[in-house]
Amino acid sequence: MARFINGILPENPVLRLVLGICPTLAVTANIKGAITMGLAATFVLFCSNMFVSLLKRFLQPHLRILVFTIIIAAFVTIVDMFLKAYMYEMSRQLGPYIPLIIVNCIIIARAEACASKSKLLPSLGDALGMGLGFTLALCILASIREILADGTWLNMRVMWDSFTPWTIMKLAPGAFLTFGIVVGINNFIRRKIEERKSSQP
Amino acid sequence: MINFLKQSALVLILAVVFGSVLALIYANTNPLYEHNQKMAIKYAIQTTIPGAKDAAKLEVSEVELSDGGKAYQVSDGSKLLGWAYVAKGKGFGGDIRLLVGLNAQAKGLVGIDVLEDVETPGFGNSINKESWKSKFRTRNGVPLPLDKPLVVVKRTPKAGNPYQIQAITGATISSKAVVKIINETASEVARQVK
Repeated sequence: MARFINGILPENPVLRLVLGICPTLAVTANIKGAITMGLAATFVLFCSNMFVSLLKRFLQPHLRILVFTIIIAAFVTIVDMFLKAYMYEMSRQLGPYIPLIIVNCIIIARAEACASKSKLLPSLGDALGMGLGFTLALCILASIREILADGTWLNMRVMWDSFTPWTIMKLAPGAFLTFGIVVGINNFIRRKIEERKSSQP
Repeated sequence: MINFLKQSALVLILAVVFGSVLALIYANTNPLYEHNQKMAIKYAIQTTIPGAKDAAKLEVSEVELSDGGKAYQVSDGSKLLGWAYVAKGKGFGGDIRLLVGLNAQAKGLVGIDVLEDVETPGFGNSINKESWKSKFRTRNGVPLPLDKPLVVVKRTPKAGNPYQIQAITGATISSKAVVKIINETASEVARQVK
């Protein structure tokens, strides 16, 4: 349970550990894509942590990365085939970024740092926490970008009619700007909380 | 040898197990994927060819073109509605893929749809807008002629001149790219399917 909470805010993979930035920048132009990406990564992370944790006794130290990659690649391929069959439009929109989950460093980092050293339950909690933390971070970025770029949130109109869309937020610079600002705000809040904690006797 | 097998046993077992699982899932999902692709083409045809009302009822048969591409012969079951083909070319940001529709006699252009583009959002990707695609539709029931290439103009085209297409403001390069793709392919495909 503590592992689960850990991934969502205190060690959020995107905002604190700054892992998995490629999909973070690439698929956050709208919220639907961000949610799909986040859940796909969570599924892969959950399954890979489960398998790595179950198989950790058989892992040969020098072959472990190879085993992680086989497990991750298998589940990513499953997700990819599933999306193509049941969510064709979304699969077109996300394009190469679903297969690229294979090289998402959050997943391999959790396999290495957590699942290969922990029991099954903590590994699963860790996977869910990290996965949802990733999804949450993607959604925060995507909300800001979609609202400013299109004036919509989940395709619902939220801005006033004469609102001028900020086209830049749809493009790569918008992704970097939003990402930097959100990480900055997160760090600022964290520092304030820590100052308050240390000032108390 | 034994040592080698011992070390790699896990990798080998996993490869076999995951390989078979993936094969099983692929066998089950691939027909759906191919169905989705076909439907995507049919929906694009529906917006491209006048008279194609219900995508699910369209009958689409493929015709081989000399450059290896395919043209689609579209009918509603009884009547030939027109022809469509996929054309690709360079845009401002990368490749643009168009579905181009020709009339039943393969003598005129009746509509286009943008299947794929990476044009700049807010500018070049306005080629996806209805206001731009409608410039390639039949005008008062008359398809655009294919005997001369279309030209992109910046001002409102002269009334009655079917060869002039007004560019999108701020996206002249993307507009020209679309027209160029059509010019390079339409009359050739029309000649082949006629």
